Amino acid sequence: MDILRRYARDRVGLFFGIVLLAFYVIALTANWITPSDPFETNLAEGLQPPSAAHWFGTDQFGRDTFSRVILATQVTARITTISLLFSLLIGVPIGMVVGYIGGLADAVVMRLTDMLLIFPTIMIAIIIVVVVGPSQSGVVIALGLSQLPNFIRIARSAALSVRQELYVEAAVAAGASWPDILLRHVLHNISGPIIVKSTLALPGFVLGASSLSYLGLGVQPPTPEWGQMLHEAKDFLTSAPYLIIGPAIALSLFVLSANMAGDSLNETLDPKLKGRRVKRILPRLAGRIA
Amino acid sequence: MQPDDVLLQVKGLRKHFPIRKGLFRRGGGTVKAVDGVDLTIKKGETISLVGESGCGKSTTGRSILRLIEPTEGEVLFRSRVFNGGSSETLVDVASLPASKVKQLRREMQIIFQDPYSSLDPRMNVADIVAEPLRVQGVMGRAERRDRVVHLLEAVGLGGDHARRFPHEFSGGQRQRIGIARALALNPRFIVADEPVSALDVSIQAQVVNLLQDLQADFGLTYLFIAHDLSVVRHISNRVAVMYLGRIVEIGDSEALFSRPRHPYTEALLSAVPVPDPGAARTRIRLRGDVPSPSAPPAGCPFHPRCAYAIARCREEVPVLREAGPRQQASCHRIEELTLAGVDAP
Amino acid sequence: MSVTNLLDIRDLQVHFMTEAGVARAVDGVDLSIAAGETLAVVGESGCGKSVTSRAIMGLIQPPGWIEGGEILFAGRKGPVDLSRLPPNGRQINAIRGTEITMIFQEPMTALNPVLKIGAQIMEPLLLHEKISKAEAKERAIASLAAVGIASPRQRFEEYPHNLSGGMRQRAMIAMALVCNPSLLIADEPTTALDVTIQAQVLDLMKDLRRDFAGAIMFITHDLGVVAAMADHVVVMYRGKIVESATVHALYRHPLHPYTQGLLRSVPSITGRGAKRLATIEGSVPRPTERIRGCAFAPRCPHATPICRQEVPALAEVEGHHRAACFLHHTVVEERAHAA
Repeated sequence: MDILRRYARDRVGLFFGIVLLAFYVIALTANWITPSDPFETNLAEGLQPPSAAHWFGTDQFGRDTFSRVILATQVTARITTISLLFSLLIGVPIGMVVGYIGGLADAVVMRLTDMLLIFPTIMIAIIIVVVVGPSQSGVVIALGLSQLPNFIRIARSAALSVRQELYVEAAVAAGASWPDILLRHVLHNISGPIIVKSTLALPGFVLGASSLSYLGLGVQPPTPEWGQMLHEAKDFLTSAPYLIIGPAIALSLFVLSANMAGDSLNETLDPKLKGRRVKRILPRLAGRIA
Repeated sequence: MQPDDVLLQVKGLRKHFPIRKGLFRRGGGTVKAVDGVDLTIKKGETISLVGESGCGKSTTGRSILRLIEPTEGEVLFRSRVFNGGSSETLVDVASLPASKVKQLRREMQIIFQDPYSSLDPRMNVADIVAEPLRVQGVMGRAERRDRVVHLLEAVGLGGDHARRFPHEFSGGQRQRIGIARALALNPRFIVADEPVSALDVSIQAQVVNLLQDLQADFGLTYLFIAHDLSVVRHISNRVAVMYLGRIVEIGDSEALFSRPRHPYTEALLSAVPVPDPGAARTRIRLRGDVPSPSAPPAGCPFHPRCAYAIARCREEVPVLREAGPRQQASCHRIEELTLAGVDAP
Repeated sequence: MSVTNLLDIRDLQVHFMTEAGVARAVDGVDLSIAAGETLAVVGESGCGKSVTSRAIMGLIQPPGWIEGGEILFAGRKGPVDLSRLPPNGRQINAIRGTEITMIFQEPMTALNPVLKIGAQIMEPLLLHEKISKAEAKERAIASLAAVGIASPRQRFEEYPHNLSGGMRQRAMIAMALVCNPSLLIADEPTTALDVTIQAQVLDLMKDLRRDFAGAIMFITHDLGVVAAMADHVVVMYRGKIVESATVHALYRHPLHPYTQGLLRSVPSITGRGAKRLATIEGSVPRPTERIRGCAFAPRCPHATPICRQEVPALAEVEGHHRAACFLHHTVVEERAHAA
């Protein structure tokens, strides 16, 4: 509660937090709030510029771009949430356990994560597409695997530092077993950095999902996805440039708000970071886009 | 093995840490943190382990509790938990299987130096103090709540503190919380690892008094690890001085402070700054620093810094031997030397 | 105030912004140090002793600021008010590290781990004095020898991690003394050291006092160390000086109940004393807590109603022995009446 109140004190962070939340509300209610059927084709009304009926215009099949952007929000949210859970639920327990018990298990797991980190997301994705075929589950596995090492690492380093604390030794002196200590002390004390890391990883997931779909390796038509929509729009860049507006705005706004909200959360949990936000965020955004 | 009034007997305790150079590569030598410690602790007494950092006093305390696995040696403890609390059985803590160590924790506890790191910041005071009870599964939830209030009152805090979090307390209060946790299982033996070193002077006295009151009320036996010799003299019945992993002198507190028999004890005593500007004291200046425990000097480990060292000290390792009534020291020259204590003649 | 004082602090106030509000870390401190004197500042954690020294060094940084008061320093280029100088300006930089130097509790954090000891000692010389590198090296080596470091020429080429804790503290002292400062601030210089090493360093500092013409401000919580080192002592509590006396007067006849309590609560190594230690009740209040009247009143065994209403001033009770306590104000008033 105290943390929420402190978080709310940062107005910029609060604003982007609400925007981020709005994306998820849209995602959850997408099936009911689309103004028209995002799959209904009407070739007669193809490639129309934005109007009161079609805010972002219509695509070459006459589908309402606005409705498709809304549905794409749902698709994106689903893919990123499942991928995030994938890396979280596998990465955090592994990282915590190897960080706490150390030794050979730690050495082996760390070398494996190093190996995984060598491959770019795209390469992992291509391999997976070859194996399971281009699909949503392919994207989820590719993104989840590519972020897995990061979550193992952060959970491991947090567990390593918690292990040094005397209260862990006190628990050992009380007779606690190591799973008990992991659940009671370690998990509790590393939840902060992990929540922050998750929020900060979110834009990466979204950009990853979109780039894979843009390349045709991810979400397949007719299911809308921001990257996939951008891919379709690029063919009409000169004749119907308005097609690019909807997905582009949604994508950028999502990435920006997740970044800002995550950063503000980070600041709330670690007051030492205060200030210099622009200096921190700009290079990160630039890195992502490049 | 031993008379009835002995609670714990340490025999030939060693703890060697391997120095690892890189992953998988071993054989970089060992640090002999504890190198053959023998110690007998009687029921109800306070025995202090003193020495400078790196002398192995903390490692000794933790090895006795088996928070660290000792490399070698026995820690014989008169335990009550294995016979339903009625009679005592002698167990070797150092070789006890892990499942039984958990039971033993009810009788042996520890108080830490750092009152900040020793309390989990995310837990409230009630959960911290009740943790040993929960882990050992000895009480129901309601019983635990009552016990926590009782314990907090015993250490001079109120039951109304139970819902608060560690950061709301001062260093002295946090140390009291740590003490309440150590008492939760009604232990007989407590290792107090520098329990007042991190506290302010005016708070130190409160905690020292509290520890003494609790000892009287609960019949506790303390192994008090400290470097502050004034506090040690005040609180202990007996004192053991450690240097480079070994006990170099042990004896009754009064005797050791007034008539030390090992040159290192003498130097240690004379180095303590006394809060009296008029005090005329001759200080024994020790040469150099404590050598690294990974490469202890040959012969007597203290000889490179000792003002009384002779040729024999460089070659032969002295053993701990009788130096007076209930006093032992490991020095070749016990008989020849008259060393100065801290009591004015 | 006499003009012979090296340093005169008048009504210094340093505040810090914290989550819980404004903390008055230093709340109206007056003290002076004469040239060549050793002044000890004693108090428990949070009493403001370290903040005072950092204010002298111009090291107060946000969230802290100097709220008011003066720090008059008789510099080589004339008197200057250190509290008015911009924290990173040319003036304070010329004084810091040459005329006023500091040694810290943890030498390892104060020494740069990637620079050789010698280079670090030469740095202030090369920066502030117009001498050649060879000359600077000779002075650095001489200064290492002066603090009792064996084979200084060899140590000159080594890195901080090659030295033991005691050696590092010696190197820090050498670095602090190489420019012949007029004021050396020692902030708990022996607290992190083992007792035999502490004894060596204290002996060294006592020896240096004989040769070193400058003044020393010695900050510590250890009453034993104070007795060994100081000429004059000030005792601080909650950002204020509660007692100021010569070291002999303070230990023989402490006036303030806080000082009395502190001295009584230390067990004696000679074993003389009660079975039970005397204590000061309660704990040091949080720095943001507002206390009406005397800050020590809630813990004081002698507190009277006036103590909870008004703040006692630091007044002279006997010659050069001052205390901020209403218990002694009657003495002060009687004397004023008689005069």
